[in-house]
Amino acid sequence: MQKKIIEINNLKKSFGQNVVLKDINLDIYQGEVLTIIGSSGSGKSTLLRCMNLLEEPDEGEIFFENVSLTDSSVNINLLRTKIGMVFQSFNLFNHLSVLDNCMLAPLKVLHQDKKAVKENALAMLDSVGMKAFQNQSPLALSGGQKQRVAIARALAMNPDILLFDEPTSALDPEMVGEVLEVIKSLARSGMTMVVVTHEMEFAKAVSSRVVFMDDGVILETNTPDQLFQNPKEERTKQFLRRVR
Amino acid sequence: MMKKRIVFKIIKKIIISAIVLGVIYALSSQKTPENSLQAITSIVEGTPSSETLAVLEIASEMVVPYNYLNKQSLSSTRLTQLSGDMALPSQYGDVSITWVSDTERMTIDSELENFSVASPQGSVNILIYHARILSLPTILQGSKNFTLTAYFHYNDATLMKTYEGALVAVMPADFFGGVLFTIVRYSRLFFEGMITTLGLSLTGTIIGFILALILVFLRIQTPSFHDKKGISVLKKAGSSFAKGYITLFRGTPMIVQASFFWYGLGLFGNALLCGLFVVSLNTAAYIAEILRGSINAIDKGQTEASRSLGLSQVQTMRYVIFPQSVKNSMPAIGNEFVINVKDTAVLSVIGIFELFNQTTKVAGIHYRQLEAYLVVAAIYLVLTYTITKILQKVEKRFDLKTIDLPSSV
Ligand SMILES: Nc1ncnc2c1ncn2[C@@H]1O[C@H](COP(=O)(O)OP(=O)(O)O)[C@@H](O)[C@H]1O
Ligand SMILES: [Mg+2]
Repeated sequence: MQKKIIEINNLKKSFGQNVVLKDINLDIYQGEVLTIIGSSGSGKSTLLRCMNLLEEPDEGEIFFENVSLTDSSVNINLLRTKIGMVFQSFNLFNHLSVLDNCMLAPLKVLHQDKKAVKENALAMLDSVGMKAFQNQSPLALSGGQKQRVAIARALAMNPDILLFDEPTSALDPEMVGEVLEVIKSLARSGMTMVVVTHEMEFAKAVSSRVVFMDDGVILETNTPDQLFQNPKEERTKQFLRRVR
Repeated sequence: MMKKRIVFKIIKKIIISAIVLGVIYALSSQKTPENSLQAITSIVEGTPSSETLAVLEIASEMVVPYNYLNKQSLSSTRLTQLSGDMALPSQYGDVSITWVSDTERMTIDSELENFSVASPQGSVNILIYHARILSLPTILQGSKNFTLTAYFHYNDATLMKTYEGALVAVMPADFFGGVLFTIVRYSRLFFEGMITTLGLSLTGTIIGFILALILVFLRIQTPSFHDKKGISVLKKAGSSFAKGYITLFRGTPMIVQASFFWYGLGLFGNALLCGLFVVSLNTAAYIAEILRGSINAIDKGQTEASRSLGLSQVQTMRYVIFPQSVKNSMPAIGNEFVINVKDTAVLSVIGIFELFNQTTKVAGIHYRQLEAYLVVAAIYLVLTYTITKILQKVEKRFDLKTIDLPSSV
């Protein structure tokens, strides 16, 4: 078996009365691309955000490379440097140039040498096709360009896993392709990724496994072929009919 | 990044030098206003016995020149704004007095005249020498200094007392003449007041801004699930302190704060420094609220992105949230500066010679309130209008820069 990057056991999470995650168990292995699908409000984002502790779980355990995230003695900032995240709304730092967006965390958190940081940041921007925009303000970019910079920013930390929360949902249709291309090429390069998405074609093409979430539980996990062609659960069938 | 760096360095330097200058300015003892001429000297001629000396000294203390027209006694300070004749007493008990002035603009009659002055015992007739003003300086000349010396004779001994005074132009009776006179004659007073006002408000705004950064940092602390007990107690304490501070300073008038710190506590033993202290503390409370508003307005995604990259809460504040909220707050902070230019007027209550206090002085000299306050209103208006325009220009520049960052490391 491959190395486990993330292990989630009996994870529960509520917001007030609203139970959002009900007993989630999920393992993510090195090199795999796990996509999470499911209707809106089913808890996909919350699950993803628990993986880097942007949301604090109520119960259960999450291990990242065998270190318990929920252990209060753990240095969460250090662990987060290994867990990249890409958001639906990009969340680029608008007061910094594209290049500085990619350099901030390596400089201030990893305390790496400035020259090396810049070189690496430029390489990452190059890999998403945004090197030419290095000196621009994020405000001057299109949505697709912003998201590619956000990916480069996450990559600049040299993470062991990347979490994507609906990376193309805020994009104009004509820009979805360029971002998905970048994610696909990351997948080919062997990057471990968890992608919450509504792009079913993309999920089919890129995933090693697909998770279907419904109302706070993982209803079904399978290879993309199996899950899309032979869904076992009635709810999965309904969902797939709806999104097609 | 080069240009931005340099700009930042320059801004840093300007801010630091402004603070240093402001503090030095405040520390340098309060400049006594221009009529500081009233030195009094006493020299004795002859070899008087101690009784004789005592009699002479009492006489020299009791005798004052009078304003010839309104019969008010002229203290040495009042001699510095002289534009009318004087009545100079010739006798005090057995002490006889003679007077000499060093200016050709004034002659002193050699014959005595009767002159009645008010006293606790009713009006008293005394014999005086009439000092006649021959010519006054023009408005443009402003004032001419002179000395007036009184010789007190008693028992073959003479005591000399020298008043330093200044002849000043008479304020024209008509409105426009009065305004012109006020501007020309007191331009230096107004200018000094303006510098004090600008210095106080600029330095106060800058120090207030720096304090506000600390305040708002404390204010927005919220204990989170990672915090150990001690930390979360500290955070709560910091936040409550900032909240209390802001409520207190925004909820009380600056005039009360100034009186409290100066008359109540006698802080710093220097009114200007105390005033700077009050403006800074007051401004800090307002800017802290401005900053808090703009911090709250920043998208939560900024914090999440920053934290997801491993930046700590403090680093997130310092590198992501504060720079953006400070930038967004700049117009409001500039406005706070303009407000300070106006509001420092209340510091006249603790005796700082800022613009308003200088004006009150000017108005008091001639009892011509209308002209004085009209002139100062115009000065304030020009100041605030100019500053507002400059700030708008700066804002525009600043915004342009952020749209197209000229960046290179
Ligand atoms: N910070 C929050 N506070 C309160 N409720 C939340 C919060 N975040 C998510 N929720 C609720 O949790 C549920 C699941 O949300 P989410 O994980 O975002 O679903 P999905 O990403 O699958 O659309 C929704 O009902 C949502 O309203
Ligand atoms: Mg979501």
